Amino acid sequence: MASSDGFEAFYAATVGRLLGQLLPVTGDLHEAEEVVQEAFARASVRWTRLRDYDVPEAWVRRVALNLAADRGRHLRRQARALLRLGPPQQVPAASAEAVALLEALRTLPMRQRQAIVLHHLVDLPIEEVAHTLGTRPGAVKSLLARGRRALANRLSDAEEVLNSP
Amino acid sequence: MIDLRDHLQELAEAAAREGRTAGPMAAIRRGRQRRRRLAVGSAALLAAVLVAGAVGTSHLGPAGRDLAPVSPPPTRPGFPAKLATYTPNGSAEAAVLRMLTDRSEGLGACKGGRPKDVRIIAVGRLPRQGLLQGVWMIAARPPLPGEQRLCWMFAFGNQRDLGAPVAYAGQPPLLASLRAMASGDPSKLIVEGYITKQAARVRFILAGGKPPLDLEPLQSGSEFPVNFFVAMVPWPGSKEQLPVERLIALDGSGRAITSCWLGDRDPSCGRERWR
Repeated sequence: MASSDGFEAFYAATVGRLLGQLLPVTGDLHEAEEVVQEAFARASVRWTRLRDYDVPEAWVRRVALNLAADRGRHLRRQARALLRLGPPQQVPAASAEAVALLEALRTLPMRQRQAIVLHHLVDLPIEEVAHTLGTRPGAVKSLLARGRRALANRLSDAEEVLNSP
Repeated sequence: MIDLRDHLQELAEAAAREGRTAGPMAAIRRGRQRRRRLAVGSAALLAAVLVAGAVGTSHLGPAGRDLAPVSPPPTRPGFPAKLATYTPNGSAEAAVLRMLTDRSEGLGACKGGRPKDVRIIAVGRLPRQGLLQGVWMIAARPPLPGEQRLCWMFAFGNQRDLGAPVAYAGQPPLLASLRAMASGDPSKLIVEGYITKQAARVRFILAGGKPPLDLEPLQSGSEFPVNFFVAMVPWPGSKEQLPVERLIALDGSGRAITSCWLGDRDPSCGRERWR
């Protein structure tokens, strides 16, 4: 059996944070729940190995990010890997500004969304974002710049977004 | 004022607060099921199966091979059926039913409708060919008066291997005139969804210029604002283009009511709000 030794505690400790990180990527709470749960399912069968990682959460986040990207592009081979087609509709209760940001994020290409979340929400340095996304740091800088510019164009207070640290 | 970091954080906190997942044990079960499924290996799909009462079907198939659609009645008589009076026909059906009514993963986890009131909308058999064996089932909870959301679920499998491409833990999305979801294994694409009751047929626009395919929706009865549909379409290489590009709802006289794109480009099946 997949060892649940420590898995339940790991799940309980990280699921909320991962949902929060995946929501801005998927733009939809249901979609975030689905990819996070699927990522945990994949983690569960590798748990005896993953639990020895320094940060197993990073593995789950990476898988969830990949799933989020995949689901927007292709149906997956496994029947369980559901593609929920259609627009994001489920948004948690948040301020109008935050909801507007979520709407604006949805219009960005997936890679830009992923880079923005990893850098500005997860607080990963550029190099780690590049490692997570499997690209070069220069490409991440470009993704971030283009993403922020696009957000600025879609939101009323462009200067604040562009100047975001 | 929009501050990127602050508002991302706010969204994250809201998602952590409101997000509902099925829990660690459900993740473990799902992981095991997925591993078993992967271990089965790939298998060629030899037949197209069209359910939901195929009408006016055109032949489908790779490389021009005719695949006569099997059009078994998707249900035995008596559907939609109340859960309390429904008797599963065989162990596969019983297993799928258990999943559908599971409190952590099934309709029991969905918020909406009359909580203890479940209707089995339709049951059908999966094609003998292909990875997945057993039965498929659609179940739903009648919505409360004025409710704009619908708790429904689509699941399939048998006593050893189960999948639930449509399941909501928490609040389901707002109703749409046409909602479709799809999943695939290495041999076929399964498309399931619901459609406004104004629609007499759902037309599947297929890739590659193949003739379209029309399905009659599964009748859900007066307790539901929509009818449902299920289709299984051959997809011999799941890395290929999706075999279904677009869905069109047609009324009784053949006029288009609404439509949506299912494919990779700007999928929209669910975007149009309920009217």
